[in-house]
Amino acid sequence: MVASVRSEAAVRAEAPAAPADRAGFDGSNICNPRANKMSMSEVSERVISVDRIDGIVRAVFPSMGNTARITIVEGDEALMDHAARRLRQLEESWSRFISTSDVSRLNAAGGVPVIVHPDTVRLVRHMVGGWMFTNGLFDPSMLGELVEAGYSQSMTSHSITVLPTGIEWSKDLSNVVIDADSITLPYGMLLDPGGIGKGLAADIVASELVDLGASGALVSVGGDIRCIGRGDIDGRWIIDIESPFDRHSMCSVAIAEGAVATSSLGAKLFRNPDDSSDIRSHIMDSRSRRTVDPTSHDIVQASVIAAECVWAEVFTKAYLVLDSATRIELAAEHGLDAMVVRRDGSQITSHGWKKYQV
Amino acid sequence: MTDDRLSALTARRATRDKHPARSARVLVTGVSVSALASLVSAFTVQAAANSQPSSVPTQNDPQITPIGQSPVPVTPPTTPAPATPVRQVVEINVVQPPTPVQRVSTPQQTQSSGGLGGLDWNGAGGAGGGSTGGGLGSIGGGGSSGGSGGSG
Repeated sequence: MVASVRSEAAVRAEAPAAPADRAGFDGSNICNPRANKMSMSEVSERVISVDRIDGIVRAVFPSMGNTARITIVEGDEALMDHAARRLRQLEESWSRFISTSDVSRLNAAGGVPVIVHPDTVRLVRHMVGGWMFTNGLFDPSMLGELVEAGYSQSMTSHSITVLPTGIEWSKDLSNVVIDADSITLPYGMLLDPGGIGKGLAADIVASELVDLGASGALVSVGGDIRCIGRGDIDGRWIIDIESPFDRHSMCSVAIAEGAVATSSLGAKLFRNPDDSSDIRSHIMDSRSRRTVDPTSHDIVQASVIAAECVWAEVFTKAYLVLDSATRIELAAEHGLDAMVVRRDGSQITSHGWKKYQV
Repeated sequence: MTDDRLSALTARRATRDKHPARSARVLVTGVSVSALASLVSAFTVQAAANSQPSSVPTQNDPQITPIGQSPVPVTPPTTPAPATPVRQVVEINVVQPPTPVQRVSTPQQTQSSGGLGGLDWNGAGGAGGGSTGGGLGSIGGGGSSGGSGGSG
């Protein structure tokens, strides 16, 4: 199974209509030769770039199997170190590829209560909430099926998710028990933080940066973006949304505060371990509990604007499993706005989307 | 060993009159009596317990939570809410109203005039919106805060 999982770049090169590799991150306004390079312990370990221009500090570094991009407006340089450290802590608590993480321990507990970090309690509460608010379209309990489908190895490392064998996967999130810092998953339930972890991480870190003194902060983890406080462009935040077919920006939105999350069907592809010609998406359909077919599914990308990135991320996943774009107002029940891109390239937006569009 | 001592030992074994089955009978009798006494005691205690109201909470007690069920439903710390859009800065061009035309004042015409005024106002607002959009366009041309692409 593991040997058949090829590198992400190799799979993407052969996948039809797959989005461009995001690992390169568009840092057009990052690598400015006039900028002052900084040395910060946490950031400098894995940093791609750190720049400071006119009181705005920006850093790009790998995090959570993706690329993290931090922008701090009028804040102490040490805040960037805090952001990098917190993202690493959250990854160590939530990654399914780290055997000692809270999530891995919960998945291995077999129905026994596990004491976890308060961040993890918050994560699991949001997981259950996302499942409820989307009527089950968003379902983080499909790790067993996802690994069986072939996504067992991290796409950025050699780490492998090892699952218990011989059990039937549990899928009723209403049976999750949370008591203070103790969580009990039903026997057989396996949680996959996936995108919701990145969205919540962006929320947590951005909030903390402002609490620690920054006038404004943007935290982007793999395209899940949370903006708080004074924006870096005339006090506001301008977010480009990339096309799922190439790396070009297909539209921009402006927000004073809030979050934008985008999920694509082809963002992470892997091969069927039993049939190497069968390319699969990491998006799981909660109704069939099987991977969504990246070669035929109509909706190929979904973007959602919300106050918090965690909810924006939840609803992008809900949109991606829909059979058609007729339910574009799915998130509108909660005041959120969305844009979905169909396979033919057409874009469908919710009624309120235009108030953000630039 | 002398023959006398050997004969003495042999004689003691030969004179033993306690059959092994006797010991077994004694044991069985003892166990039976004990079991009977225990049963009688148990029924007595049970009868006493049934005659008094129980102070031990049962499964119907709301304070008791069966294992595997949440004491309270898991609720998220927050709920979905909309983002804060950028407030549109509308530039309103002050346009001198055209010279009023003397008309016969009728209720319908007054209403119509007001409607025209509304159209003028909307037109000015539209122009302002366009101007604001141009401003954002120029901002967008200078870069963006971030890019949101497909993620896991």
